[in-house]
Amino acid sequence: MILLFDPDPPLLRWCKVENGNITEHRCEFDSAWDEKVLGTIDDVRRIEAVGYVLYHGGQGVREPAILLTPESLLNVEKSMQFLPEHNDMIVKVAGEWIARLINIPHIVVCDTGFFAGMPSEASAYAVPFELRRKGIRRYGGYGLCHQWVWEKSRSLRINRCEKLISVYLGDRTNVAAIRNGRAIESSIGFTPAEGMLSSNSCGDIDPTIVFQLISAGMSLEEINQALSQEAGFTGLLGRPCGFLDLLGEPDDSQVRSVKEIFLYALRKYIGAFVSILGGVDVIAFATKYPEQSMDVQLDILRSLEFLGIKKKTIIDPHADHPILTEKDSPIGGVCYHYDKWNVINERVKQLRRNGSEKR
Amino acid sequence: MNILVLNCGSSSLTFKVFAVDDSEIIREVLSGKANRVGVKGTEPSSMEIHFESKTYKEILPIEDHRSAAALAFEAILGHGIVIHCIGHRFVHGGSYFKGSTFIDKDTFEKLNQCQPLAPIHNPVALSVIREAQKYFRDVPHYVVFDSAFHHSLPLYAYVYALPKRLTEKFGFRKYGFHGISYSSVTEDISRLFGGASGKLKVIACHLGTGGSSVAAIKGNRSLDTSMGYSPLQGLMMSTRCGDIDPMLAIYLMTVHGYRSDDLMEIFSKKSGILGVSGFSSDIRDIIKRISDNEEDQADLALNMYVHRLRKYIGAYVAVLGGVDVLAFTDDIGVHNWLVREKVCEEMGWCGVKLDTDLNRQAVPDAVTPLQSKDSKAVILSIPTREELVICREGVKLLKHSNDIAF
Repeated sequence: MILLFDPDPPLLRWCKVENGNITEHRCEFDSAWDEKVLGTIDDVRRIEAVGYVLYHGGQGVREPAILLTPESLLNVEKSMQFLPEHNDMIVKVAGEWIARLINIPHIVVCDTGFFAGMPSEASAYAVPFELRRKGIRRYGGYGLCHQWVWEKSRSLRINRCEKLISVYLGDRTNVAAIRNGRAIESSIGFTPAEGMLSSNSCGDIDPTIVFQLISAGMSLEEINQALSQEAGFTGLLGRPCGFLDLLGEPDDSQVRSVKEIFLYALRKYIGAFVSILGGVDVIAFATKYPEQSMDVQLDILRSLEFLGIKKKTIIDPHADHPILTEKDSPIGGVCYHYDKWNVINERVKQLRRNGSEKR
Repeated sequence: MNILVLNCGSSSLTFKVFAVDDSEIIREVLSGKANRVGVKGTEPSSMEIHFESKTYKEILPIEDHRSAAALAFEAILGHGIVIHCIGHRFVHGGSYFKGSTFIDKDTFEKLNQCQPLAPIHNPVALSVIREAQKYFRDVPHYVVFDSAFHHSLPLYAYVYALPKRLTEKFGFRKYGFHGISYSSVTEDISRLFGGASGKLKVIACHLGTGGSSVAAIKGNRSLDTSMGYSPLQGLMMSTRCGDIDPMLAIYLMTVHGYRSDDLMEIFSKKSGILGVSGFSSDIRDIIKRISDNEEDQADLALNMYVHRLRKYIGAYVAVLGGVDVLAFTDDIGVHNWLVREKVCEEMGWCGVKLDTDLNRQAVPDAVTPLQSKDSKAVILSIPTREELVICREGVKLLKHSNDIAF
């Protein structure tokens, strides 16, 4: 059995993977969390490995996956300041379980690891060295997903995928540019607040706005809350709105307008990354909702028709990975069903395998 | 009659005197420019003036825009030129101003209130307006706004995904700037393409020694642009950071104890090319350092400058569904062949192919095509004529207000 932990403040999520079956649990992260986790496991001796999701590796963790040792746990702790709530939770969980089960591998999968090697012109902010040396840079994100998309596209031989644009579609939509397996751009910056607007976070804005809000007397917590919890689709609409609400043909004209804003922002990122890659071979979407979000995928491909992309007229949305473009299209389009637990599990298994080979 | 146009850049002051005759034909009488006003760099500041086919140039310390303006006025009066009307460029008119207007007491007060919207430009422009009003007390002064050209932006391009209550309270939206320059470039492109310009997809890069931006223009209308609510957003500039994560400021204040005023100062005056290179805000210094093989942060500064511009161009190609004209303007745009060459590398995917020889030989003071024969898009180097646009706005205003004949 493999045990996987995913911090989602104020909740802790975990799952057991046994014989290919995934059972998911979650609880409030309070003082009794450990008891609650133990309550879902019949026999801890059957646990073969434990995996932990680290959302922001900061400067400490620069790999997609690392074997946890007392030393590397220090690196994980170093990354805490970058996404304090999430990272604090996973460090606590890892500390507890590494002490409890000392003879099995503990593995941290890191969502920024895939982007640690981004070229410096993409990762740097145009700010003085004084700030850059404090770890102020663009870290990217959703590396687990985008690396998986690249590996899958290569193994399925979707077009030649030297130049790949990977789009994660969901409540935290974001885009990555990948050249020959190396991540060279991400819409996510220092934090996921940069880039695409999401259900409740603002995406790209003028940096002056933060300073205007400060001069108007708002506290840093209030501003943080406003930009990362009350903005995005919800902020535009003035009432809660998630990714799923945008899909299909929304009845409400205001929701349609939010969708238009979302699609426009996404189109700009795709164009920007085609430009950075100097062209594109494959545009791949990864989503929990392949069928529901089909119209978003097709809208993006339609906007690239001037590049000669040939959309398929009939697409089987139930296929394992629906191909969106004709065989002779110069740019391939594909959609993958993204199951996060599965991908985390694969990554953990992979490192375990490699680890045991080394031993 | 003679119209004096004053154009404050963030590190320069351009001034031109135009004579407008009865049939509204405009002739340039005198022109001049104060360079590197209040700039740290390897080259000193200077003042040059062109008058009656003579050029006067002097290297002297110019501390701020107000003193640059005073020098200009002395020179104009010294040449015995009489000024009848003065036009000022003003970067950010906020929501107060939709178009050009004369400056009366009420207007001045509103301009004053616009100061925080463009903290580098607006205070500087105001100081020049005050100085000009001291020297030329009895002539009408008017302002032309940089934000006006971008009024055509569609909602999905100008809106920020912020909570409604904040957007409504503060008027947050993308305004966009360099509009006077984009008007000038658009006019020149229209003239070049004649009647066919109505559907042209144009991406114009205004690359100045201070600020830089890109605009997506279709059928002579602006559809998107890289600067936002203020001129801080968008491209990496000489001392401005351009796009950053909105959480950066909050993080630096919370975790590292920065004060908000200091941080704003860092982002607007100590970042960009200066911040990355660590030694100069002038891209020419950066390029010189690279060719001297003393690579330090100079190559990073140049690569970042180009990378960020390429991202915007790509985004706007996607917005426009292709590109017919890629235009480069303002100082860096018309003078710097290396920047143009690097930006156009690997742009074949959208039909943009540069002729490297034409590009290197291009002269800065004329509209010059730079594309190779097999390029689908036209690439142009176009000198911006902001002052002429400002002068024409003045002619329109005067006609409208007094029905005066010229």
